[in-house]
Amino acid sequence: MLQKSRKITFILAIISAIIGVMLTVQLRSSLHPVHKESRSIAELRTTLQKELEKHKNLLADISKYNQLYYQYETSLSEDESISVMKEELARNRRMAGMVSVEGEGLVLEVVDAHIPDEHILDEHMPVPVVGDYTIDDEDLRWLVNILFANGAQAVSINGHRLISTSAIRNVGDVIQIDTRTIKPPYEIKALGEPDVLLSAMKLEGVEENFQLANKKVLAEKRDKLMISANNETRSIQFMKPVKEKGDS
Amino acid sequence: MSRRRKFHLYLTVVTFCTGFLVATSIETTKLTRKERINDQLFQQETQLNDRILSEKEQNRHLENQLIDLQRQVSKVEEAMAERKSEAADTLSQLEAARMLSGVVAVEGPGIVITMQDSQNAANSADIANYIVHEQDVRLVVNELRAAGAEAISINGQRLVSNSSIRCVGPTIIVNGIKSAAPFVVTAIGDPGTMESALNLPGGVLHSLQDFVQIDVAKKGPGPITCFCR
Repeated sequence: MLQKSRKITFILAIISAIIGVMLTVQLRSSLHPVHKESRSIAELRTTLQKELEKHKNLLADISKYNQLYYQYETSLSEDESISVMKEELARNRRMAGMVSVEGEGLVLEVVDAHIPDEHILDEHMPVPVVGDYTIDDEDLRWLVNILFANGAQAVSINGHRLISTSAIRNVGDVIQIDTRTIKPPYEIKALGEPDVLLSAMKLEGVEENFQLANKKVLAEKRDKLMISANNETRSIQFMKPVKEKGDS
Repeated sequence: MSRRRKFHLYLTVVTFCTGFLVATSIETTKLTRKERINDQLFQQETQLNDRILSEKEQNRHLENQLIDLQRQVSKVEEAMAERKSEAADTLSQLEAARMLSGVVAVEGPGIVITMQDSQNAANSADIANYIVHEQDVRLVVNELRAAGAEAISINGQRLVSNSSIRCVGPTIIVNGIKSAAPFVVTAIGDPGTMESALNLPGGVLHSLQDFVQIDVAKKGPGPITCFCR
């Protein structure tokens, strides 16, 4: 009898101690919610990173222009300074995509996937409808975007080099790049590191997405890939360089 | 028996108090530690802020320096062009190439399109339908390009020949620079053509308007920032 009541006392003591602790913790934490300071720190860090990146880019640009200026100043004859100017022109044309480029890269081919042999299908079974769904402009834009986002320097679709003003859009049943019609099979060439591009495509699920349209993407790595220039003449009517010192 | 019960009661009260005490002391020590951490965080924050400010200041200086340099260079180029007709030809080509490649800031007539998540996104059943996705931005950009836009920038980042538009969470990444909504697409070109292209029945605005907030404004000449590499 005595032993039993002692046991009860003991248990009671422990339980009430636990309840006390629990109550206090509860009270404390509801009175003083934990402040999330770390978030603003993370935000500040990204801002700083952005500024540092900008700093780096600016320095690179300044050194480029400095060099150009120096070349102009030190050129002995008119012809020499004109050749400097031509070099600068070539550099800018390359950046604008008006010059063909060469390097390692990836060739993607969008082809029809194998349709299961007909004799496997039962007569009464409905044939899976896949033909209705074809690749549209957004699929191509999406794919190209993935390539550029992962470091592709230049991309062309069926030989049409994409530049900053290239539009890819459905016009009726076909896809047009700028004003030129492209027809399947689509061949996309991308200049960049092949392994990076391939793994990015896997990550984004390119294969699965194109499978929905019953298409397969065949990828081939190339050590030497030529991407032709965009030779369309582009007239500039509206934009002009900003000459004054702006806020930007 | 009643004595025993009384004893139990006392014991309960006492142990209760003990538990309270123990917890309080633990919490207090934790709190002081937290305060110290908060203090550290605060210091870190101010340090970061200072660095950001100084970095911004430096960048502004550098930007001015760059613009000065660009001006000097163009002065030299123009002087050359005046002296020789061959240089003048090259210079006009060079200026065009610079504008097309996006290394210089450009200005001209155009339109400004602001895209934002729909305000009733929070109340709707399918939120994903009512927020701006990267394909929506791409769609608008693509339409502008088709309508003859000569230069396009998104949140101040000029689109160049190898730019991509990516969304990560609520932010958009263009040229590796992250920015948040609203997404402002600025395009230089014929404002009338671009606006009517967007407004075509069944066109981009029609299909997007029901889902996201999208405003189109014609704008006079305004600079588009350059993307310098």
